Amino acid sequence: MQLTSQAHVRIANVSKKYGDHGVEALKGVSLDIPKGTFVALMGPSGCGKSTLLNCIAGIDRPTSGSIILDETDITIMDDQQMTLLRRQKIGFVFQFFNLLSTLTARENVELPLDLAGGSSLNKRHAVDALFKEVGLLDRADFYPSQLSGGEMQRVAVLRAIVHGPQIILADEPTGNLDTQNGLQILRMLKALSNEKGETILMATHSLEAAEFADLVVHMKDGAIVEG
Amino acid sequence: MHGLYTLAIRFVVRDLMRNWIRTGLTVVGIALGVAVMLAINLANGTALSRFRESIDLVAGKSNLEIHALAGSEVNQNLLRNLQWLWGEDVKFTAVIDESAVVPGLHPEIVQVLGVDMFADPAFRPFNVAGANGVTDFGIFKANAAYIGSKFAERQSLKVGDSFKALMNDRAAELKVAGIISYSGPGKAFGGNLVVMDIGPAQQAFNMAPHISRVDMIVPESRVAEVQRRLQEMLPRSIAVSRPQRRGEQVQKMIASFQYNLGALSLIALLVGMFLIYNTMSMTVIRKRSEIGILRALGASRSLIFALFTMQALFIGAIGSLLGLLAGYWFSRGAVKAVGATVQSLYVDQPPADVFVDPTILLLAFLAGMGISLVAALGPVWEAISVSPAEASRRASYELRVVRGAGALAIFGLALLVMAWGAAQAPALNGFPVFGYLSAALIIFGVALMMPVILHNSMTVLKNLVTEIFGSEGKLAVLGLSSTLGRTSVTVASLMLGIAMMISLAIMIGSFRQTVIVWVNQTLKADLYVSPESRVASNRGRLSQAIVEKIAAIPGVADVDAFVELPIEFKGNPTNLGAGDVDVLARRGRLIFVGNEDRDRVFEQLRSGNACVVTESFALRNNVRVGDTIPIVTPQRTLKLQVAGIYYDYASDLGYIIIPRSLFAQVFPDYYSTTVAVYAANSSDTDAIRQAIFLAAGPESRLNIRSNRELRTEVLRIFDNTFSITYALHTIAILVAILGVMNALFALTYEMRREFAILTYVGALSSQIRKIVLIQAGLLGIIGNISGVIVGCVLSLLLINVINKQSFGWTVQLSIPFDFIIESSGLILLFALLSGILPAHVAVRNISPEAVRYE
Repeated sequence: MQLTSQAHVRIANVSKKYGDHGVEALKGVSLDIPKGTFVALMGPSGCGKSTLLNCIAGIDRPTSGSIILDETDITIMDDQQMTLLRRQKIGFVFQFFNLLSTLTARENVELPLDLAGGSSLNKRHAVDALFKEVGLLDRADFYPSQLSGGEMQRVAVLRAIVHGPQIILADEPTGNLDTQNGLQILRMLKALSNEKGETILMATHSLEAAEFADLVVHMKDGAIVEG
Repeated sequence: MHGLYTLAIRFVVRDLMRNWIRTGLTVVGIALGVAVMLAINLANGTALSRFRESIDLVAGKSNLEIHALAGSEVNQNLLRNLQWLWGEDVKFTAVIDESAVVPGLHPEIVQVLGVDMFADPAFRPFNVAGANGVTDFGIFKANAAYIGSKFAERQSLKVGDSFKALMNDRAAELKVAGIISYSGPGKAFGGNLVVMDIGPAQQAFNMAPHISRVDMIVPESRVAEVQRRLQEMLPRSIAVSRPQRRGEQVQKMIASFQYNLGALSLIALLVGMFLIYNTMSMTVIRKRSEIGILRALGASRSLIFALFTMQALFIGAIGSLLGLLAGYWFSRGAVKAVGATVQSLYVDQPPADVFVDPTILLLAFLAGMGISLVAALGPVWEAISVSPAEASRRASYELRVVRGAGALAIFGLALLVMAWGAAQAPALNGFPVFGYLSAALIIFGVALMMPVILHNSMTVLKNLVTEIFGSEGKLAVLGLSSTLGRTSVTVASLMLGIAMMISLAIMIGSFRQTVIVWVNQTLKADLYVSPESRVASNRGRLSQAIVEKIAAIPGVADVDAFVELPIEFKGNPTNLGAGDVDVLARRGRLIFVGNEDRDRVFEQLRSGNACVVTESFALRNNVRVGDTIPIVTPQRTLKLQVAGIYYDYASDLGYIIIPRSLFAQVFPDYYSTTVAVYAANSSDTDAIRQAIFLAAGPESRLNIRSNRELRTEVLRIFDNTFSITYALHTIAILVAILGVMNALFALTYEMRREFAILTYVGALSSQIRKIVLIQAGLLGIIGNISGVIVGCVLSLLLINVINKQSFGWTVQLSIPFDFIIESSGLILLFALLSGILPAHVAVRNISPEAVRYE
C-alpha cells in the first residue's frame, strides 16, 4: 500500500514470527490508514488479522518493520510507553467480549477511566450518557452473566470508546453474535467513524460486516493481497 | 490513588468474597499458623517473664544482694560484718527465700519468704488483710504465715486456718495469720506466696544458722563501689550481685528448650505459607485472561503488582488478626504445657496467667503478613511478567511450568546440596541455626523438584489408575498432568505437613526408645529415695543419719548416697553430682560414649583427680576425654581430668560427677539428694520400702520409688515434655489438608469446561465426582509418599544435628513403622474426604456457558 502524508496509522513492512522455526504470522505487511477511516481486514482464520491488530495495539511486538501512530513509531516504545498509549489512544473490542465477570457493566465501562484516574463524578456522567446512547442505562448495574451477548458486546464497545481513543481496534466484534445484534454493533462502529471521526480497524471474515467499512483490505497467509 | 482504591475493591475484595470458600480456607490456614506461633511464643515469654517479674517483685527496692555460690550457705553471723554499711547509707536485711510443696489432691509449689518483719517493709511492702501490720504479734508465733490471696482462694484458706507444707525433708503445719493482697510484691509467683518471720522460717526449713541471702538497698550511684568492697571482704563462697542475675541464669537454663520450641512453632506458619502461595498462584492463573484484558486496556505492570499484592496482604491481614485471637486462646493451654515442662526439667514454675507481651503480638501479626507477602511474590511476579497477548492464552502458564520444570528441578537439587553442606556446620552460640537452615533448604529444594516428581509420577501411575478406575481414572490423571503448575504447589504443601509430622514422630520415637533403653540399662537400683520436697526445691536434702539408717536395714545389699547441686561452669549452668565410686563400679551401668575402659575410669575416679561427665555437658562445653576442667567450689577450684564421657538423659544441662569423698572436701555439709538402694533380694523391695519409712520416722517426708515406678515417671515426664510438639504437628497436618481442599476447589473450577463437555457427551454426575475424588486420592498418595521420604531425611537432621547441637544428646534412630503406616492411611482418608465438597461443587456448577469459549 502507498504511503500518504495524511495517514493516521502507517504500517511499514511489518513481519511477525513466533519462535525460531515457528509460524510466520505476518509477512511484510504495509498499510496506510487515513484518519477517520473505517477499515475492514478480511481473510480466513489464521491469515494474520488478529496478529496485526495486536501489533498495532502494542500487545504483540513485530519481529521487524515499523508501525507509526500519529507520527510516533510505536515499535520502539517500551512496555510502559505502550501501556500508556493503549490507555490514552486505543480502544479494543474483542470477539468474546472479555468483560470482567466480577464487575458490573458500568464498572467495566469505567475501567479505562479508573486506570487513567479521572474524578468519579465526571466519570459517572460520561458513562451514563454512553449507556443512554445505546439504550442500556437500565442494565448498567447488571453483571455480564446477566446480560445477553448483544448487550455484552455493546458494553464492550462502550468500554472501548469511553476514554476517547483515537483508534478503535475490533477483532471479529460480531463473530459471537446473531445477525441482528451484529448489525447493531456494526452500526455503532460506523456511527463512531462517521460522526466522531474515529479511526476504526476491524478484523472480520464476514462480507456483511465488511460492507460497513470505507476500505476493505484482504489478507491471506500473513500478507495483504488486495485492498 | 482513587483509581487504585476503586480497582482494589472491585478486583480484589469482590473476588475474594465471591470465592469465599477458598478465601476462607486460606485465611484459616494463615490464622492457624499465626495462632500456633503466637501461642508458643506467649508461653515461652510467660515462662520467663513471670519468673523475672516475680524476682523483681520479691526483690522489691533492693538493688544488690549477697548470696552463696552453689553448695555453700550464707551464715547469719555475716550480718555483723555488714554494720559499716549503715554509715554508707545502705539498708540491708536478711531473707529466707525457699520453695515448699503444699501436698494434697493437686499439690502446689509455694515460695516461702522469711523476712525481718520490722525492716522488710522498706524493701517490699506487702499489703496484708486480716493483720494489723507487725503490731499483730501473731506473725511471730512459730509456723505463723501470711499467705497470698490467689493461693488462699485455691486452697480455700482464711485467717486462722492451718495447712501442711513440705519444707526440705520435713512437714510443717503452718497457720494463716493474714492474707496478702494480690498487688505489688503480693503478685510474685502468681500469688503463691507464703511470708513468715525469719526466725520461724529458718526453723521450719531447718536452716539455722543459715539464711538464703542478704538484700540491700544501695544508692544507685554507689552500687559498683559497694559491690567491690563487699566482694573483697567476703569469703570466696559468697557472691554479691544484682537480683536480676537469677533471672538471667534461668534464661540460660531454658534457652535451648525455648529456642527449639520457638523454631517448631514456625512449622504451621511455613505450611500456611505454601497455602498462600497456592491460593495466590491459582488466583493469578484463574485471572490470567483478566490480567490480559487489564493490560490491553492500559493497566501498567505496577498496577497489576499492586492489586495482587494487596490481595495477598488482605488475606494475610485477616488471617493474622484471626490468628492473634486464636493464638491467645491456644496460649492458655500452651502456658500450662510449657510451664509443666520447665517445672519438670529446669526450675519451679508456679501457676501463671498468660503474659500478653504486645511485642510478641505485633511480631506474630507481622509474621503472618510477611509470610503472605513472601508467598505471593512468586505468583505476583508471574502476573506482571506475562505479556498481554500471552495472558489470553489459557494454556500458556502451564506450558511455562512444563518447560521450566527441568530448570526448577536442577535448582532444587542445588538447594539439597546446600542443605547437606549446612548440616555439616557447627552450632552458632549453642543454637543449631545451620541445622534449621538445612531443614528449610531440604523443604524448598524438594518443593522445587515437585513439578518433575509429579510429572513422572503421573506417567507411572496413569496406566495403573486407568486399569483400576477406568476412564474416570484416566481423565483424573490427565487433569492433574495438565495442571502441573498448580498441583505441584498443592502436593508440596501436603508433603511439607506430612514431612514435619513424620520427622517429629521419628525423632520423638527414637528419643523415647533411647531413653527407655538408657533407663533400663542404667537404672539398676531396686529403690530410689529422695525428699518429698525435692520436687519444689533444690534444697531438698536427706541427712547422713537417714542414709545410715537405710544402709542398716536388713536385706539392703548396697546404698549409693548421691548428691547433686546446680553450679556454673564457665558461666553456663550445669550440675555437679557425687556418688559412691565403689558402689557405682559394682552396680552402676554407665554407658560410655567412647567405649572407655570401665575399670580404668573408676580407677581414675578413685584417685581423686578425675571426674566423669555426661555427653550433653561434654558437647555443650567442648570437652573431651583427657581434658582438665576447672570446677569452682567454695573451698577452692578443683582441676580434674575427664576420665570418661557417658550417655545420660536426665538433664540437657549435663552433669559433672566426682567421688563423694572429693565432694566432702569442698562442700563440708554432708547430705544427699537421692539414695539408690540395692536389695539383696528383689522380692524384698516392698518390705525394705516400709522399713525405710519406719526408720526415717514420721517427721521425715520421703519419696520412695521402685525401679519400675521411677522408669514410669521418667517416661511420663518425657511424654509431657513433647505433648506440645504433638499438638504442633497435628496443626501442621490440618493446614496441609486445608491446602489440598483449596487446590481441589480451584482445579474443579479450572476443569469446569471439561466437565461440561463430559456431561454433554454422556458422563453422569457420579462419574464427575469420581474424577475429582480420584484426583484428591492421587494428590494424597503422592504428597504422602514424598512427605514420608522427606520426613525420614528431616528426622536424621533433627536427631543428628539439631537435637545434638541443642541438647548434646545422642539419640539412636528408631523408626515407628506402625505410626507411619497408620498416619499415612489417615492422611489419605482426609485427602479423599477433602475432595467431597469440591466434587459436589464441580457437579453443581456445570453450565452450558463453560463450553461456549473456543
